[in-house]
Amino acid sequence: MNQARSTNRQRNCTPRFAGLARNRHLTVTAISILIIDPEAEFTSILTDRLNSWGFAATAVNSCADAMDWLEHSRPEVVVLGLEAGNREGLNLLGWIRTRHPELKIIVLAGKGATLAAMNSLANGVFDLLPQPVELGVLIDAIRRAQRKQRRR
Amino acid sequence: MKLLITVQDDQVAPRFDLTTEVVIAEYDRSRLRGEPRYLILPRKSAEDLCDLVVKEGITCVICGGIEDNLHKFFQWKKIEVLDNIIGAHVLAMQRAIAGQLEAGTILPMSK
Repeated sequence: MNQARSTNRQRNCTPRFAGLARNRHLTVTAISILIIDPEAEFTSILTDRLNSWGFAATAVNSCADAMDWLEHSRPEVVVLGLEAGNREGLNLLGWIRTRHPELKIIVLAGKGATLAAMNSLANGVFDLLPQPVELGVLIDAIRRAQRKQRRR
Repeated sequence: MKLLITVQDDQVAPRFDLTTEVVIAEYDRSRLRGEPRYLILPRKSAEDLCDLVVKEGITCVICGGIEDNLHKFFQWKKIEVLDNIIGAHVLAMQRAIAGQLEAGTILPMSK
């Protein structure tokens, strides 16, 4: 009896991080994601983290590379970093909406770019997340975007 | 209580000012409340990270090396700093929540 109680206590004390590790294995369908942001280190970490959660993420660090990539491949979700005063990012957003209106775009709004990012919502963006981005929130947004994309 | 750990490759990041990833966890009476939140920072910036610490209402910062003036700033803001921590960030989190982490602790590295 005491042993059973002790086992239950141990089970209850299992750190919650174990749940994170378990969930990691639940993601079996590789959702293809294109990450666009000028910060190479940021995109590298984000790509690494998303891939470790079972996504198929690729990153590019310039608008020209993004356009080139989108001409040849079709991701299910695009994650676009928008910085304050970055006209290129907004132009790219417009280009994607015109050329690939079916693509689901999640905008990561950097410091001072909230207004531009809010305007992007009117431009058909799927979701808008503030920077620094919370991985769990981004993953949730990607999954929602993918579900909507596959329902089309 | 709310703690923030600077992370690099699943370890506690060796330098606060070069951190690009953090984990934030809330706990109460040695028990974690909710899931830890992983945040990826858009760039390396000690100033932005300080803003985040204050904005999030962090009560304890766990990191590797940290500049003296930043350490003093956190002290002034009554935020505890456990610095010079080496090893897996998950272990550091578990130890901190259990109240068993001290500045300068060396923990096993994560694989």
